[in-house]
Amino acid sequence: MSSLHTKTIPASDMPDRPAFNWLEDTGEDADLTVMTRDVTKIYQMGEEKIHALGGVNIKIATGEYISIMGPSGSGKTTLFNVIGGLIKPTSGNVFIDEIDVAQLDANELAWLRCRKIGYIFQSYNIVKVLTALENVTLPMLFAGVPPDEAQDRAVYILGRVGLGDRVLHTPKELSGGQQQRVAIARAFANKPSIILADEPTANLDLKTGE
Amino acid sequence: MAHKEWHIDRLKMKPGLVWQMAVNSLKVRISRTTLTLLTIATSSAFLIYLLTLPRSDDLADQQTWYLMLGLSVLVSAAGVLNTMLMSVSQRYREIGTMKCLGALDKFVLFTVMVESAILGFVGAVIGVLVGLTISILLGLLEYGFSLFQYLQFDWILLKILAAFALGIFLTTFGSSIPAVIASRMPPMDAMRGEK
Ligand SMILES: Nc1ncnc2c1ncn2[C@@H]1O[C@H](COP(=O)(O)OP(=O)(O)O)[C@@H](O)[C@H]1O
Ligand SMILES: [Mg+2]
Repeated sequence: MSSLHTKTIPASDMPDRPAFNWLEDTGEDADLTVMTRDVTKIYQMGEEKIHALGGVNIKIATGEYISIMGPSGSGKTTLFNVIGGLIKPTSGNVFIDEIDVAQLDANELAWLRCRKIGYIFQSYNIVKVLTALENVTLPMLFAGVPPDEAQDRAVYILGRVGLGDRVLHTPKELSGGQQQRVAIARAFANKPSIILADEPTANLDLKTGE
Repeated sequence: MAHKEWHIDRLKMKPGLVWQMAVNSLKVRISRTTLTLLTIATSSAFLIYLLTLPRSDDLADQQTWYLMLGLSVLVSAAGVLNTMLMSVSQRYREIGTMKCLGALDKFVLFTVMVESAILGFVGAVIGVLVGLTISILLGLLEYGFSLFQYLQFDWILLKILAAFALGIFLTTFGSSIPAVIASRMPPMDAMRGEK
């Protein structure tokens, strides 16, 4: 298995940037978790076309820690969404553990989002009508974990991110940083193979263990 | 390329969780719930009141009655549909978030539909009770204890059923359109779809 190492990929500038390729040193036999092939994303805004991704090729091996940097508007969030199966690319393919995401039906996609990927969004996106505990429990319930077990694990993870005493609070009773930690706890709930984090800024240096 | 052994399980929808989420959502948004219930209750109350009004032999009166019936159904329909459309479209973000966590399309859809059906049912119960009470009280004032000779209490069960059908149909139908759309969207598009 590959050891944990860090790489920084520059996301080139908009709009006529060259496609960025980063295919080198992951050898043929490496354990790939994510691979994209010529992924483009064009947003249609009325008459105007916005080329958010212009042919992205990346390979990310299992256990690798990658950060993608670039100015705002350079397509980081779009790439995050495409890799996470949250939007469809305009062209190209995304492979998660060698499976072409485009081949999956709605149920399989839900399974992928549920079991394989943990998301930490730029804007937290925790469910406002649920408590911290319920937010972390929910993905486990979707995955079919028995409720008691899910709850125990949720309490445990919330403790790990330092919210042991905030378990029954709703998002509006939590500070921004605490909401972010709920989001982090939630991302780890189903022990995903991939954690995608979109500008998790201030609070990610907490505990990303597992 | 190294071959990975993993197969995709099919997720199953848990009816218990659907019910739990629907009830929770109604409880947490209690002011919206109350408002929606009021809209539905008013509609079914007015319908049941109209349906039990004393019969008139006067043709002009009968025409007015039909007109009132038609208009009231139309106005209630517009009101309830609008309320339901609004309440679902304000939740695109929540729906998108749940889909990111692995909610199945039908989980999202069923949760919204169950919630709407509960609203329709409870609203209709309140409406029918209030409508019948008003009808009987006004009948008492007008005709004293011989009110049931005048009020149209024949086919009363069918009329009550009609009021229920109206309530439940309007709520579920009104929410089904945005719910179907939101549940099928890729999660991020759903989040952005919020107005
Ligand atoms: N849903 C959308 N509709 C239209 N344009 C979009 C949408 N999302 C992103 N864009 C555009 O695509 C480009 C890349 O955006 P984004 O991926 O959010 O960049 P970053 O996360 O690096 O700031 C920007 O020009 C942005 O305006
Ligand atoms: Mg961004």
